[in-house]
Amino acid sequence: MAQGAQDGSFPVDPLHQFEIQRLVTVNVGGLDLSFTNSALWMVIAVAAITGFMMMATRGRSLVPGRLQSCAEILYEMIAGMVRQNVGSEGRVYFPFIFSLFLFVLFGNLLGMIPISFTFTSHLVVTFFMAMVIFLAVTVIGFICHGAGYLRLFFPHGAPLWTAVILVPIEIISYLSRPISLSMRLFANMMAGHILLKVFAGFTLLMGIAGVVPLAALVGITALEFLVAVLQAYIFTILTCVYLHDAIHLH
Amino acid sequence: MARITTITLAVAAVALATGPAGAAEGGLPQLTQTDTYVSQIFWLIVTFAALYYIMSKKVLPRLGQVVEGRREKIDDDLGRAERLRAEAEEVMQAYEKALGTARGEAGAILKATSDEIKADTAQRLDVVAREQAERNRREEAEIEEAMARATGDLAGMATSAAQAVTQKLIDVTPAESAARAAVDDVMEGRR
Repeated sequence: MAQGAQDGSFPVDPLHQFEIQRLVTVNVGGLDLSFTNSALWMVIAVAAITGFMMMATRGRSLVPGRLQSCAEILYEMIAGMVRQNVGSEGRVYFPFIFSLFLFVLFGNLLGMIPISFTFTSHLVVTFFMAMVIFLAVTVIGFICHGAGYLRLFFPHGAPLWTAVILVPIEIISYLSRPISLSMRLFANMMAGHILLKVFAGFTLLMGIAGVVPLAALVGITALEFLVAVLQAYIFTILTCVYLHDAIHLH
Repeated sequence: MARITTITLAVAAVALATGPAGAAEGGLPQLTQTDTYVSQIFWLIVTFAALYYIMSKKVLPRLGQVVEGRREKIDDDLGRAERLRAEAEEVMQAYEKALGTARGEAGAILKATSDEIKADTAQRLDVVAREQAERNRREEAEIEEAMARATGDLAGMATSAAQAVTQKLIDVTPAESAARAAVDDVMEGRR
């Protein structure tokens, strides 16, 4: 990491943290399914969520303790989000939305641990999630409305001639959903982590004056925690909004 | 928007920091390590499926049970409180009704008694008044009779006196009837 420090170049490589390392090489029928550091942190995230939730709901007490309160707040928050954004039909998708939120949230937050790996900072992961959501939402839309789902591309009540302009715009905006959804999460997580590393590099480089970037680092770290939670929330709520469109058509 | 600026700044910083070395390594691992894509997606599917299974089969039913159970309990408690309140109100109404009935009965009894007393008094007064009136009438009649007798005696005496006086004065004895008529006349005038 600090290999370049001697020759005056930057002391840390901000991109090193994103490198995928194979921990256990697995090859199934020519497909490389190696257990990597990314996979490890996914497993850790799932284990942490499961451990937390199981412990929180162990007592099932009427008057909740601290852990149970946390779990219930999460439950009520996601349930409220689904109810408000999707409606009562959204109950079916509640377990998915709940898992999605926790998965992204823990992925982001675990990434804040030093020397850990942030699997949400990889475009292929966020894009795959966004694509699955996009395809599922599209399928749900067609199941709910049949060909009538195509009305989504033309606002109700607009003059007919505007279709020439509106339909292509709506189609483009619809198709760009998985891209914007995945890009937002990926870019935010990546940029935050690069920023942290860069400031850390400055701190090393500037000697005693390094306290200035160090102070900035403290602030950015706090900001990154906020971003970690916020981006998980945004990712989930946008999924709810897309679901709403599929079920209710605008 | 501020976020985009930050991202741009970060990317610029990376370009600045890594310089030719970063470029030599081939930039972002997210874009260069394409051989890990399949593995990342595979493990994403595996871990997320596991998470979804655990959440939907274990955690959410439990949490839902707790949350719904509490809501039901609270609703139940509220319902019971409401029922007790209604019961208390009913009792209160019954009490007031009983009180009203008792008051009415007491009034009725009071009125009946008072009427009875009044009737009794009236009857007695009536008897007394009738007796009184009877006695009055009798005594009045007696007085009248006595008076009539007295008046009759007076007229007779006056007639005899008038006859005697006339005899003495003019030595003529007027007929008794004439004398009587004169006396009556005088008495009539007096009256």
